[in-house]
Amino acid sequence: METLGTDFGDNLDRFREIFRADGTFRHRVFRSGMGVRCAVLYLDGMISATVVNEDVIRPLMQANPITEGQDSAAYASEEVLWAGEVKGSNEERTLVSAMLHGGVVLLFEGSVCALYADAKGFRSRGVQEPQNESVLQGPREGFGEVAIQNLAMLRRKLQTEDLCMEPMTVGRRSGTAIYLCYLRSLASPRLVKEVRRRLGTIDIDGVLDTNYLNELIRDRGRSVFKTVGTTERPDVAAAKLLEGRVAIMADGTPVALTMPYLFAENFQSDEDYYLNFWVSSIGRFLRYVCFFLTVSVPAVYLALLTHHQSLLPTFLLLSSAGTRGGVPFSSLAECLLLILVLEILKETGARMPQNLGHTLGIIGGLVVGEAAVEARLISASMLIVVAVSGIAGLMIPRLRAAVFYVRLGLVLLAAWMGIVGCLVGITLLLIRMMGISSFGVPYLLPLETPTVQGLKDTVVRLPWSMMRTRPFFTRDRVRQKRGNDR
Amino acid sequence: MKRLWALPLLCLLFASCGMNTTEPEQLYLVSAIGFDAAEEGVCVVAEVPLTRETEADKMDVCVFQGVGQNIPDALDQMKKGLGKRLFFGHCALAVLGDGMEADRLRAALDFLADEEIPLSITVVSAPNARELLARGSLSAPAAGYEIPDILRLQTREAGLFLQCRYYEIAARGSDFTIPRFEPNDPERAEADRFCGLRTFREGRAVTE
Amino acid sequence: MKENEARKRRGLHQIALVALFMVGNTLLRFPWTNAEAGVTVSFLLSGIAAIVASLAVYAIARFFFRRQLHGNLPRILSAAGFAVVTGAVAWCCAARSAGDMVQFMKDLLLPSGTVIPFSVLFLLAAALLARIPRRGIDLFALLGYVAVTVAVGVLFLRGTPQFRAEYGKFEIPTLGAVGKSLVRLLSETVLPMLPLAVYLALSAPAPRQNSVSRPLAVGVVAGFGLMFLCALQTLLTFGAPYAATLSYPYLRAVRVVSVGQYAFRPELISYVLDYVATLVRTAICLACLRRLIGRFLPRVGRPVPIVGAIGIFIYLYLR
Repeated sequence: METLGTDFGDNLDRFREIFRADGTFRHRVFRSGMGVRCAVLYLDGMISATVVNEDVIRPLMQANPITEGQDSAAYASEEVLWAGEVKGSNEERTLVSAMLHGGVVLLFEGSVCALYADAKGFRSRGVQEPQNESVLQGPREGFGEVAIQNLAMLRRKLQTEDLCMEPMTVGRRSGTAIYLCYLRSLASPRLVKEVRRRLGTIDIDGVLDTNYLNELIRDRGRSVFKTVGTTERPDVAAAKLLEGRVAIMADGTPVALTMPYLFAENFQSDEDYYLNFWVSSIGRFLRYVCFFLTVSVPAVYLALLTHHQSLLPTFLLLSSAGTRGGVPFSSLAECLLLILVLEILKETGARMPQNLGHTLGIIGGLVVGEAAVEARLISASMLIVVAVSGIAGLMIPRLRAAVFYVRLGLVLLAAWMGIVGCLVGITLLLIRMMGISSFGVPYLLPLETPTVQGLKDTVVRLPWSMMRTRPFFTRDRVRQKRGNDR
Repeated sequence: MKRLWALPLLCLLFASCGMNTTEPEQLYLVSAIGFDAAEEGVCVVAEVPLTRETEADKMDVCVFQGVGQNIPDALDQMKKGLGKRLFFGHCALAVLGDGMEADRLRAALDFLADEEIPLSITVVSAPNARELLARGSLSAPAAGYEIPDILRLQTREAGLFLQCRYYEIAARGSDFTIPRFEPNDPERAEADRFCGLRTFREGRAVTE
Repeated sequence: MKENEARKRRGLHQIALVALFMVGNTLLRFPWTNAEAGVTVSFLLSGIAAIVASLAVYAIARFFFRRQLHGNLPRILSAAGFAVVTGAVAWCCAARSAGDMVQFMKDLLLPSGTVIPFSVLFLLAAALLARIPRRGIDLFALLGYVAVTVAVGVLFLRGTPQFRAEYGKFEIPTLGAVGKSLVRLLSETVLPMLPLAVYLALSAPAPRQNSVSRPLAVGVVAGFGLMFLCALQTLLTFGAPYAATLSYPYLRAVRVVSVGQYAFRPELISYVLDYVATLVRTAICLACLRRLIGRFLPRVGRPVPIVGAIGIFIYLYLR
């Protein structure tokens, strides 16, 4: 693309040529009150008609004539237009980009400089509660698809000049606007620099969701464990920033990314901090227990049943042997089959319309549960084990992928080497997790510190009066001064 | 990508050994084992609750028997008629019939030292092990689980302190005292009754 | 406050690491297998010897490796000699503990045909653990130590109904009996302390004298305390003469513990205990080897645990 020329008609034709196949391209040529011809160019649907008509065209029509030698564009920018932010440029690329982002471009006869003003008016979804992050108590607003509005919601939570929102653009063809948000006095400069660097290395056609960025900038890109957090809630994003983390917001998606993201955060619920700490602590502790149950129970049961029958309680073994009589599948096949059915039910339940969810529950419960057991296709004991594992897994939705793969891996190891396989699998998993870091911060960081301050927000959530310090990677670790105790 | 080489190696390891699994329904879970003196040598008796799709407390019980010159022979004879492997991991009772003394007693106790058999197996004496085990049980799936329960109750309520688990006997060598049980009359509901102690000195029974 | 917290964190981790290392594979064969009379006294004496030996070796390692070696040829040669001896001891300890673990699992748990895969995976886990940063090993040791201590404590408490007072009588042994068992015990408890002390000296950045010595001593005591508890449970359950005839006596003692009537067999916990302790010992020995070689040949240091593990596997396979 090139710069504009002196001929008004040629400039206009250039834009017509660029957008010749675009059915939303609109332009109007008129003689302004300044005495020169003007052309207003915009993309229908991206702009607000009120802004264009009332703040751009009307002032231009009612403008006073310019004197000879006076630049019409400069005059219009300084004394005529009512639009909020008006800039000038003679580069086609800049002007086209402005139109694509909801701006209106103004060409002036006799001027090589064109103006562009912000006139965004595209339709967007209103503020709603995120479906995947609903709470019983606490704020219920969620981010939307418009980044500027999301930034405003974040600003309302953190009304401080310390809040930085650095704009960047990613995506060669999408030109997606992203914003790097952090609190200058809390976020480590090294962390911010590293995030900026990684974002700068992205070279991709288009970014339609923050998950594109997530997978391109995270540590251990192919690991099943998340090293970048996601949230659709402004209160959660603000809380992460207050702990010295960095957030990335992208235009076109309500999901914000936060980093670094640690293993212990998978067990934190959004409302842990809005409920009484006794209640929160129970939930938090249960989530850790459920994680252990969901990954290990099927594998341990399978190992004991098929390799180490002497380790099972006697009556359980007798009962299992009795219920397995006539089942045509081996215990391993039964376990894998049930895990597969469980995942299918979870997946279809998530995608199904709500009014069909009840039907799915009945089908899942009756068909898989009762009928299959009565038909001796599966044993009741294995069904219960896998069901308990599945239900426990629902307590920690953030670890869904990790739980599935870890559970499957442990089941296969258990079938292969018995309880020894489980031990080896858990060991290798732990060692793997110890080697993971998220933007330079060890993944298991809070669990490494066997002190009250280190563990205050992990297995339990201590009262706010005891949460005096921020995480170790924060620049300023003092969260609150003493004196808040009652 | 650089760790992808580990995947075929793992698959090779995985495939090379197969899945040596044993389903629980492929086992006969021996609840009690008995030893009787026989003309040929030793008669070994195994009590097995049959797990046939019923509740645990309504199980049928089967008593297998094998006779041989020594205990391994007797076991081999027993296994010849069986379609499943005998599993001693949950064996809770060992019954020494009358006549199991000296070398036979030593052989029986050495057999109980097997890896699979629990060290805490209860050892009792009876006139005839087969008769005692064949009588069945009232309160548990098998006599092998009921008799230790009776002893536990005696310990708790009557204050009777008996060191009759295998490891307690093995620590004492060939001098030990174990409880004695006899099968009840068929008209009685209780299958067997505790009727005193039997003391062994240097591998021989001295009192009843 | 940050420095205090960091120091407290490091101290606790080091204690846990040393204690778990101390237990290692010693518990698999110790103390009553083929025990002679007087083994109780020998056990306590070997604990004292372990503390003294570890502190002495730690001081020697710091002397050699605290500063840079270049330019001082006599020092380089003596350090290299020390490194060769310690490296050989470290590899042998790693091989012995891995061998004991493989044998233990083969005897008791592993299905047939899976010994080689288990050996591979166990050595892989040890090598990976040896390669991750120090804080990773520390965390693993801390988690392992907490789990092991809780397990041993619970098993001890649950096992008290099986204890017999007559087995607790202590007879003063003869000097000859003490000496005989002491020689055997020293190889189990004192020799493995060499690679541990050297590892601690090499892995902490320019440590001060009392930053590691105290956790080292406390850790040895903690580890010995754990082993003593296990040995006590074995002794009071079986008595010394019978316990001496058993293979894996502590495991047998745990087997007779029951939770509920026929409810639960807790020997599974002791398998985890033995596995974790042996894995930590094997990993630390390989890590010691890595750091020793890395001191002289920095680029070669990183793959050393894998190479060492392969060497152990070949040794186990040929054995």
